[in-house]
Amino acid sequence: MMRVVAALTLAVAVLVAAAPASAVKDTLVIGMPTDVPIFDTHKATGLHNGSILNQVSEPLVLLTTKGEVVPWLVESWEQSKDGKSWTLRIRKSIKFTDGTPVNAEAVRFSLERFRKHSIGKATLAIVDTIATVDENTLRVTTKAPYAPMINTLGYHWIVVYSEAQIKKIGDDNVHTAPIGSGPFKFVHHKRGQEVRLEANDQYWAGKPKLRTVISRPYPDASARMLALESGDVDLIFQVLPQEAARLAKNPNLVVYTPPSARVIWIYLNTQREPFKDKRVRQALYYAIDREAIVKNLFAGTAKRLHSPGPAGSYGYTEAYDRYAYDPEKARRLLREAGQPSLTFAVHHTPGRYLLSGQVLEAIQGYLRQVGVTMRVVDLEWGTLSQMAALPVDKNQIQAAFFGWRSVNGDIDSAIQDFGSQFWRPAGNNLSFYKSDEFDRLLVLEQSTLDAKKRLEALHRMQEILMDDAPAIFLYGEPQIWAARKSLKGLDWNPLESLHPLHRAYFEE
Amino acid sequence: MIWRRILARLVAGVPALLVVTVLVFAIVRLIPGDPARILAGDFATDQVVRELRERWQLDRPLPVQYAAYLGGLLRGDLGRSTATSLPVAADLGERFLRTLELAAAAIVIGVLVGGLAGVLGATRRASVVDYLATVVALVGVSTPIFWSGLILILLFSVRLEWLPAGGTGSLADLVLPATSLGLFGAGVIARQTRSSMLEVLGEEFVRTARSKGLAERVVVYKHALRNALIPIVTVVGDQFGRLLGGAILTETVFSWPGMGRYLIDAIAMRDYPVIQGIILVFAACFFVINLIVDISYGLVDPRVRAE
Repeated sequence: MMRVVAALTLAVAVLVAAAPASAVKDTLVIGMPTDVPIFDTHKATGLHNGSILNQVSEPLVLLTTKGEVVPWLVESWEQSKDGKSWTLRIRKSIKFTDGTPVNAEAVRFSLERFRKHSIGKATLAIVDTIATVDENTLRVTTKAPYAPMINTLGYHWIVVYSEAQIKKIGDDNVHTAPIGSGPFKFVHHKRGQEVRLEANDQYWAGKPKLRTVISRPYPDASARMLALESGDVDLIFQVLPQEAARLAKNPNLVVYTPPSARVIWIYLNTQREPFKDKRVRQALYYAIDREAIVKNLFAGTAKRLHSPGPAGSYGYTEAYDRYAYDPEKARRLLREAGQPSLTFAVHHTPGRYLLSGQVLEAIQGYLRQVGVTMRVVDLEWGTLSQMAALPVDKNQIQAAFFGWRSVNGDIDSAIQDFGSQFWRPAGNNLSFYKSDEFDRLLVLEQSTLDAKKRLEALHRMQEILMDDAPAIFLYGEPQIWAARKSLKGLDWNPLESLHPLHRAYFEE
Repeated sequence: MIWRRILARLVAGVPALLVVTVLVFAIVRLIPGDPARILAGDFATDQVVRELRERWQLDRPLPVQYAAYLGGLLRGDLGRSTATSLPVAADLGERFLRTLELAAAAIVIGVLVGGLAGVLGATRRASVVDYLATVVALVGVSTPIFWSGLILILLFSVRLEWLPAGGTGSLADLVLPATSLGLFGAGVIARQTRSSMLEVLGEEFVRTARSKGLAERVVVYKHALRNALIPIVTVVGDQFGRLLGGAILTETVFSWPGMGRYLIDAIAMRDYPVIQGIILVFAACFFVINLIVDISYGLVDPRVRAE
């Protein structure tokens, strides 16, 4: 009997010793608020989905959260003397995972494909022609000089796909077997359930450390958080600000809040009462304590704006925000404008922007203290977007709570909409704001090749906007991610997406 | 005989579904909002929106659009999603099976839990068991699914780590969402079973059965329950319909890739072909459930069969 026990013990000991020493985790599971709508980046929507899509197909250049442009597939660029032509040099000897080369022709093909689809049409409206010069050089011309063009080309939907693969499987079927040059290869996309990617060991920027990346949708914010806490997933996006602090206390987790390009404004319709008078618009600024909103409602994760923003975009300056919280001054301005007790309505879509309901409640409270009654009209997005698209004579909106984002890391894309040629419905000027000096500077800023002059113009434009106050520039939304503490090597762009994950790994 | 009746019902359902297509087609277009504008994104110029409207033929007169839609339906084509440009039928089929799986598992749980609680409540009237069953039923009916769902996740996934917090693939994934949804239905089924049983238990034939010396178990489950079944079957049918609706919330909380979530996303995007497809499938479901309920009346009660 004893011998049997001894033998068994020995057998167990051998088995335990033979088992591989607990292998380092090399599968990353990401919990996202939505499923990737379609695994074809040129057709996709939902900015954060770039986190998954861009692991397979890569953007031309990377935008950083500091407003820089990092060479990626395109390693250098140059703007012509007349400002209307851009020469892009494609990094040499990169290959798609099907072995075909990433060259000028491949980039041209993908750019043309992108601009056929809805998002591309709008994003690249300024582009005129796209032509190859030689094997690794591409020339893009624009209809007018456009200084931040390279930033625009860094939009993470503009990715390069293998033309050979698209020809093989058909243009409509890219989502079934996309081939790009990214650090991971597409394995499958079970719609509504999961996306699975596997490492591309030939990746040009270095062999990925993770073997597998899986993404699963968890539409409910609380359920998503619980999935991270229960260990089902390793990384989640869109943590509620009020929950971020709680998660951060968990010793196994870490919360990241990289800057986001999404900014929150309240447009004020300058062509309708009561906001025709600049003093009334300025009074609202003095009446609202933006700092307190950021600090108390967002637990400091959001960032107060000092101009249209986003903070950290190229050209952004804090110099012209003179509106400290000063209810007394607000009351005085309203009296001067003959509006000591005004009432207005603000349109808003609940649930579209972080904590927007609570923010509006806080603002209502601040405004009440200076004799202003703000009525909140909640409309679902589809309805509000249609209402907001009406031209000035039919547009009923007095004020609207909208989120906006700069897609290219340059402040131009956030402030150009205050140009009078961009009045709704042609563009997004929902304030119906018009300033001749601003319009002139906008043309100059977009067309000049002189970086110094351009920066001066951008600053002066922000000064004008802060004085005329066609909108209340509230704060920049945070992008809040939470991850297992052992997960390292993550990096983000300001468009709510992860950069290529080839450097990510789990610490032992 | 029974087959002819089923066939007659099916044929009679066709005009009803046709009316549904007209209604759905009209209603989705009456909701304010423009799919082309939503699709074009934040940067949309009017030009882009116009092009998209043309591409999806939203600029054509409504009767023409409807004729095209109906023509497609007759060929079994539900159209393409405006959001992803993928065929609706394939997506919908996959998701419908998921929702069906969830709702079916939930109804099984609902019938078992609710039925048992109802029978126990009726046979041990005014006892602790009865009160307990009543309380459980009340809690089941009045607890919002998203709340009970989160509590289940918190308990079984985060604290005990027994079951996954969401997703699909294995049977384990089905347990929490089906329980959460099933308990919701169980409450109503329990109340109906209890009152229906109480009524039957007071009838003469039950006394006769008892006086014959039959075991109480046989009296309750063979004689009484069988006779109490008709109203219960009606309620179960109703509940199945309600569960399809409740599945929308359950699917969100448990990240279940069914039709509910698909519908919410489609409405937000004003994805007309998808919304139309889903509502049509829901309508067809209700139709089929009613048919099954009618047929089962005949199965549980020979008198209905004879009529």
